[in-house]
Amino acid sequence: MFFNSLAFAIFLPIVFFLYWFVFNKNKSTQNALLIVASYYFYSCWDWRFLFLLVFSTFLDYFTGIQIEKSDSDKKRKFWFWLSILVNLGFLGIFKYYNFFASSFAEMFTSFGFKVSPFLLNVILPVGISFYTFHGLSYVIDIYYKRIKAEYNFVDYSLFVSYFPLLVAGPIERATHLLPELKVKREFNLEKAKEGVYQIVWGLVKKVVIADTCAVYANAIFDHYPSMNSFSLILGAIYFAFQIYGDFSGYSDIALGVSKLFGLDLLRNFNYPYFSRDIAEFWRRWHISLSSWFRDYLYIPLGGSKGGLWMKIRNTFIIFIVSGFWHGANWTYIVWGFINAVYFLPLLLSNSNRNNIDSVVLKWNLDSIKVLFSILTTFVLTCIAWVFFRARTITDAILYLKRIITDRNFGFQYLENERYNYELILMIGLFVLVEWNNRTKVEPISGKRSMLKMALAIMAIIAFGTYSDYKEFIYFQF
Amino acid sequence: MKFFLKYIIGIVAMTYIVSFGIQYLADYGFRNLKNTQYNDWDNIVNGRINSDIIINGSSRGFVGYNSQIIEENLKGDCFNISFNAGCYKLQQYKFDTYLKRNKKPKIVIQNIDIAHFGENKELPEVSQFYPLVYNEDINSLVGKYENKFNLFKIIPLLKYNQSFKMLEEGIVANFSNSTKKNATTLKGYCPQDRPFRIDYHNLKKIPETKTKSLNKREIDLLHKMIYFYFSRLDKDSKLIFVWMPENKMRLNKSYDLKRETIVEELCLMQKKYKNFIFIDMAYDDISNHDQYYYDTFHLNETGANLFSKKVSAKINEQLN
Repeated sequence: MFFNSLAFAIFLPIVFFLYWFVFNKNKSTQNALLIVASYYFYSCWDWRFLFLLVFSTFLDYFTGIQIEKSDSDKKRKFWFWLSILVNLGFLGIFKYYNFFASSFAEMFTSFGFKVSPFLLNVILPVGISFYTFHGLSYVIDIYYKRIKAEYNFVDYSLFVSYFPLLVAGPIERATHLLPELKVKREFNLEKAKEGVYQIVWGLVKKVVIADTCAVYANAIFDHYPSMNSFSLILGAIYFAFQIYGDFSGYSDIALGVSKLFGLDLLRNFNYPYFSRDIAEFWRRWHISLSSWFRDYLYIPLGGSKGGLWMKIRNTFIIFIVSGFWHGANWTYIVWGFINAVYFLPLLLSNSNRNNIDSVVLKWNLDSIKVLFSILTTFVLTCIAWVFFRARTITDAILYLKRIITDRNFGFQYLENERYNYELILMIGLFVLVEWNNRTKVEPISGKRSMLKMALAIMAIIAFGTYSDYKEFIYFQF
Repeated sequence: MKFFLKYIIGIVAMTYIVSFGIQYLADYGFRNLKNTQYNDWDNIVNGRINSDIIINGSSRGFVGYNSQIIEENLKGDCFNISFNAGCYKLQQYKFDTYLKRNKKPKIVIQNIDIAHFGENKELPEVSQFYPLVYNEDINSLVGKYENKFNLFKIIPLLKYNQSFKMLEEGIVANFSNSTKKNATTLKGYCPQDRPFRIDYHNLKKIPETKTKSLNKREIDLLHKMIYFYFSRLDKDSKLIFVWMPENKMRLNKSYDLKRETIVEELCLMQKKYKNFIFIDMAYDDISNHDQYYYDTFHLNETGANLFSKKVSAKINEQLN
């Protein structure tokens, strides 16, 4: 069940109605309803993986309590590592086993040994990377005594399986979401309105921007050897907006839906393409994942407290692991590596926290500098996205090479009966709307919100892409 | 909660009103833009044609029969209701739609070719029906092929989804009379000012046969096609089946074998039915000249003008 599907358009009002009118007695009934809704939502993908979700929930619930109850360090460590290993074990088997097996086989073959690896014929359970990280953060926080273990199984289950964030995040923290689930939610008109704005804007991002960009980006990336320089540049830009619209659109809908239920989730995107450097980009892009890696990997590894080499090592580790988290493919690892390379000069010059305020432009030379730095950051990001999107590293390199060597900047007819330039105006308008509202969570709220809502809904109906089956990109991670 | 529900209803109502307004503007513009398919459809469903001579057919008929030339030569008001329909059923639906609000024609010219006997699995050029989505006649025609038309009636602007240019054209049509080249219609005929280009994809569609082949279904169909018209027309009305000139590239042995049996059957029918005429121009001299075609299937404007003169002369011969 996709957020942009008719099924969800029916599902959400039913759950909303039951939540506020039937199961609104106390927080337990509210949570119980959300759990049933969440399990139903997840079983719409593949009911068999529901068992995996329940097992993972039970494992972390049980080990969390055991860690807290244990009277010796040895026992605490045992339960802690049991949870970590089982969680990562599932992730490893379902997501990474085939990648490692075939990569090792290729390596041995290149040395002259013929190896035929044993590959698993399993599909990736949707959302496994997200709910595993939920569970991991919970157990780690208990182990380091940052939080108390949760004894109410229903509340804990809801924290792991809450349907808006179950399949594609944001990755929530127990410290943030669990306290919200421990109290009865009261209906708040303003919050609900904000939720509706965010859902609608998320849908604009997904069906109008991302899915339309996908049609063009696919046509260009899939036939890149026959594309000219101009098309290839546009292809990279279209993909940049596809992935932004897709993922931030999903996050917006998840946040909006949660507000309808009186819950606040962590913000996951903050206009990342208006960043002035890569460090700022990573503070604005997939914030919940970046902060997860910062808190549970970068800081435990020593963070930036050690010497220069430790800083560099840790930076490369988190970016490469972050790339690998996205998928079992070398292209994601290279994408992470490139971002680490971008980040390095800022780290070495201690300027990685230079741009923490929001962008303000005035009619002066400084503003031109700011615009130039935003543009440079966007170009660097697009180059990295080429690796993220390409099927292989070789494809990505050839794609970028062809941009430089072809030097043909004419308009080109694409395979899907469209011209390469047709989408530029829509993207330009989208950027303008986001730019003018960059201090807000979404552009609809504020003055004339009803009119803006009506225009956004009309854009969804008139310009949305519905003809093809368009799932959210981040479901595969 | 009451306020929230009111708020949601308010937004939905406002979106509905604004969307319907925009959609109405575009629909109205299209329906009233003279010399377009949209306006022709609107005239048909509102009974504003009432011609003595009606030409029916698929895309070949649509671009090949100049109604004005035929009108001048046959001395009777003529209108071409052919459209990019492909197969016979859709053409018959259109004729029935025409008869609902217009007077019965005295002469029907039906263009015929091999593609005529197939079945349309989907509705071609579905956008031509968008401005008339609330018309019952159009809905009964389109509803047989497209379920989404029911949604189009309820959700405004959905029919213009991903067709921003079309929506824009519809709105602009309220303030301008200009029509697009090669999409302008003259009494239903759509002249094509285009040079010849070989359409290999259409050539591939020619069926491979080694013997004369016309199965029982196709013979029955021929009879039903003739019965279809005679059951609807007045007793003394004339029904004329015409096989247009085929481009020489199509006239291969396999095509001929398939065509011959149809032609033979039509000649037999001509003897059987008093008011039925069959004119075979497949091998007319026009076939040998690429400059009269824009692809191997369709005549261009020059070809259509020449053919229309020739065919009306032949019809005159037969009628007198």
